[in-house]
Amino acid sequence: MANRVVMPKLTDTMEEGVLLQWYKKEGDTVESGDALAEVETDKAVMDLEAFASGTLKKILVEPGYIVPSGDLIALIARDDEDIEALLAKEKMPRTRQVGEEGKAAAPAEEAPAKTTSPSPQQTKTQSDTTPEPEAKPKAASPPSAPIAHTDGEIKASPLAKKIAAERQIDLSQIQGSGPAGRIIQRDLEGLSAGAIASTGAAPLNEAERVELTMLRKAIASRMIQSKAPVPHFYVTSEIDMGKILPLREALQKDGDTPRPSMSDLFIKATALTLRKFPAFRSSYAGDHLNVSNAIDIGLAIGMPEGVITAVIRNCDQKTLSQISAEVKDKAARARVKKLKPEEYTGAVFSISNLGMFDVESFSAIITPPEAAVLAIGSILEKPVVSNGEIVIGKIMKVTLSTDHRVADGLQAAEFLKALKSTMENPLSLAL
Amino acid sequence: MPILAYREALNQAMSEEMRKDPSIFLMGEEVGFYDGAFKVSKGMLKEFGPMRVVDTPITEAGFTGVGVGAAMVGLRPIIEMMTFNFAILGLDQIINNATKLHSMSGGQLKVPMVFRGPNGSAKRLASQHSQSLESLYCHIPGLKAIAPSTPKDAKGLLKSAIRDNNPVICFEAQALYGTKGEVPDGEYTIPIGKADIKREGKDVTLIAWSKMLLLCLQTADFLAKEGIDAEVVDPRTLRPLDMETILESVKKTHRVVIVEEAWPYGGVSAQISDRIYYGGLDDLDAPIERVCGEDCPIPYAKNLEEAALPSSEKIIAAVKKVLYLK
Repeated sequence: MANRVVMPKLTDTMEEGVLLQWYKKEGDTVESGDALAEVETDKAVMDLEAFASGTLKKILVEPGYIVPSGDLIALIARDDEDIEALLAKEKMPRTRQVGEEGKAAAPAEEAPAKTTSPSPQQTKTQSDTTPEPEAKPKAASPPSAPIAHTDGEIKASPLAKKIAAERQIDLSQIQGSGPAGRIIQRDLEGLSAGAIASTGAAPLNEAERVELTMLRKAIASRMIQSKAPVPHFYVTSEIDMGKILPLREALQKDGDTPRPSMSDLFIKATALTLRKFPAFRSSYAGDHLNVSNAIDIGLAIGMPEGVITAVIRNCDQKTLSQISAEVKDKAARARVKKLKPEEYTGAVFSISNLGMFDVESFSAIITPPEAAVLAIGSILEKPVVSNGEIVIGKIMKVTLSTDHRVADGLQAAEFLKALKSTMENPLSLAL
Repeated sequence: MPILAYREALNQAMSEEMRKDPSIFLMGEEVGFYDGAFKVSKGMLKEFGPMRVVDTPITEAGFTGVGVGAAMVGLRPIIEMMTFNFAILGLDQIINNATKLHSMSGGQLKVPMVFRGPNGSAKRLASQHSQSLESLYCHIPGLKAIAPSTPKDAKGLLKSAIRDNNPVICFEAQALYGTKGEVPDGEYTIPIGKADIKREGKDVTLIAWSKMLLLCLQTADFLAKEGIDAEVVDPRTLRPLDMETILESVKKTHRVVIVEEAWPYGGVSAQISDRIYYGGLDDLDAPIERVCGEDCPIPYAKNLEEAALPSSEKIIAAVKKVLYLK
């Protein structure tokens, strides 16, 4: 009984992966659980494990090719098993070489020579494995995939197409809510002219073409899913850091406790605040909200090619030093793309800290399905009035971006007020 | 404005025109001594006499042909069919003579006549007497077709039909004859080929004629309770269609449900949706839904007959579909 090896779908947002290298070659014996290949997803580099034991009879995708999730990439079978008949029935993977980004995945029929191994014994089987034209298309990803345009065809109502043309909206970036993902009028509501620019413009002269990494593409897609349909609003507040800075120094001197970073302090303070404000740990679901009781906070970790959100679970139940240690570990692994999917998905609220870059304040984009994100600026020295005298204060600006479908300005202001109060009276953080 | 029954409005239209033009006469089964099978011609024999209100034997092919001949030589006959189920016998005269003689004679002959009578089901009349046959007639070039839904439209459109120099067929309905509505005082006509917005709305366009129009207005009230604001468009004339008014409405609502009592295959609603796709494709946010009679002979049993005809439930389901509501 042959076992199919497919490009896995390791995260909700993963639609395709890059096959980086095979650890095994054709003819090798494999045990269930063996690492077969190294795969780059939109967020991380991971090992692809065998789910069955046997002989790796056939490799269908060479390293360096991008394959949609769900497509067949290899077959494991008994050593003496004839897999030709099985292969003839299979749909060949839709691959394209890294560097051919932007082109739609080519069906195997159009580019068979590129999609399979060029080794001589495989060339013989090539024509046998070309699928019949009427072979039914294989679902590349389940319907929950964020943008289901993997076949390159965009389904939109004529009205939606007209609106998109008038407002120069690129429909390939829109998730349709109609039957079979059809984009309809309501999916474009609130999108202003050029909000999602059409890609029809001619390329700039002499511009250098830089291919997007998988991560950058994932970020681009996720941000559009956020900014386009989620009505953001922003509330900014100033926090007096006069008390918390000395506390931080004191904690550092306290023996083996690692010095908490500004992010760690905010994670803890936000977690305590989130306990009191269920709306900010909710997600909007059309006719209801899903309120999470687990306070899992995502922290944006910057790296040269993009940003990833490390998730710290149950932050309200962890001590500051536990949070601090966990953040250090996850940030370090995030920078080398070694976070596991469960370590960068499923946050209920996110924090983005640019304080180390001399940024007064900024507004962050919400990561769906979260309802809010907190943006932290730098600590600035400013004149403040204290006890009737002007003194130099340490002031930080934070900005809360909120999904207006979930909460309003009043609640956002109350949330910030509570957070500010915790940061300005920080003893509760040390508990 | 006076309130009249639909049958009274038709009676007024014919009587007023006959008083002005002596070449007009009414002919059909039971139109005279019996005052009409559905009392549409009540009192007309008394007023106009047996030369102008002519009772016929049960011979649809015969008296339809007599009417065509009379029209060819200068009279303006109104041929009443007891129902359009029986008019099938006269179809040869309508298709092969009434609609063709003007063009076949190079314009030398005119056939200014009206065929009129009830169309469609009327509660438990069984398969052979419950048919909605307007699509058969609308298929034929040379024939105009009207299907008024209110007493006001019935009077104004029938007067225009009588004055038209071409054959015009007027689809009435047994269930409509007793319905009442305001009819303007004095002389007025409603032009053939002009649709009417019976209810303004912004969320979805319902298109229907004759008694289905009344069902749509009632359904629009139900929809309003669910927060859906339906526009109800009455084409009034089925050929030629007033696509301008219909497309204007589609442009506003972006969603269309067409309701027709007749069978779905090749129905007038199919023709209207074809014209909407042709002229209004870019305005549509959802495929057009058609709510038609079920594709079977109309059953006699009460429950089955009701199940075979369009209903508010079916219309609401179609409306929710075009609005992508669950």
